[in-house]
Amino acid sequence: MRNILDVKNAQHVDYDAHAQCLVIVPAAHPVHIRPQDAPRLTGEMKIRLRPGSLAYRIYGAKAVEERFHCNNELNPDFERAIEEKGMTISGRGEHGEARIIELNDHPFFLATGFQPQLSSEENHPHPLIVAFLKAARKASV
Amino acid sequence: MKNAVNIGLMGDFDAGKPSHIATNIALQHAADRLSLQVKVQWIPTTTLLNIGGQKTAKRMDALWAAPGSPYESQDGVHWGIRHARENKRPFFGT
Repeated sequence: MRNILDVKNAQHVDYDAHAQCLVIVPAAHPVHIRPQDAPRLTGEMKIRLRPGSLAYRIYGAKAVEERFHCNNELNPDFERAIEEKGMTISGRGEHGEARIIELNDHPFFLATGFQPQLSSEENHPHPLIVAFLKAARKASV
Repeated sequence: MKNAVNIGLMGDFDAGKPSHIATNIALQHAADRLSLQVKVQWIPTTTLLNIGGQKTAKRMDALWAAPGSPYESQDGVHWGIRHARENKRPFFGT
């Protein structure tokens, strides 16, 4: 964000909760019923995917359920700025929160608010991780 | 096309963090699906501020910013993300 948006004081709440320019903020809609000490976003949550995006093509679905273990999310005040700088918010939560962000014009540049590695199984590898490795294989040629 | 890939995990590995262990395992699951050999190397975030760590990152076919905020060096991770962006290296952040 600092480099793409050229916002040199962009900050993440975990590093400085009182920073002037917080791009990553505590989740606005925490899960109400969750284990003690669990992060604000815990458990399975639905994500709507943006048609035509990389995430949409990888999943081959309009919506998916993903497992969260995270306190924070993108500050919605920065959504327009990052989209104007060539990124796409390709996955959104129930309240429209950014859950997947990708960079356009790049073979594979994708960040998630959830942790796909937590739901990977031997016989069901996570599609985003499979796609990431495919991109790595292509890049290694 | 090679049948082995090098993945750099930018993060401060902690065997006590389930998400770190899960990252290694999930990469193996995906590699098995593709009949690919995956070589995973964790790159401590502070090392990405110096030439040695940056050389390691540059050797990787792809970079993944591991879970576990706050990082020991946020600037180190930012260097890696920028490297991936500017050099069209696959990047994943979870």
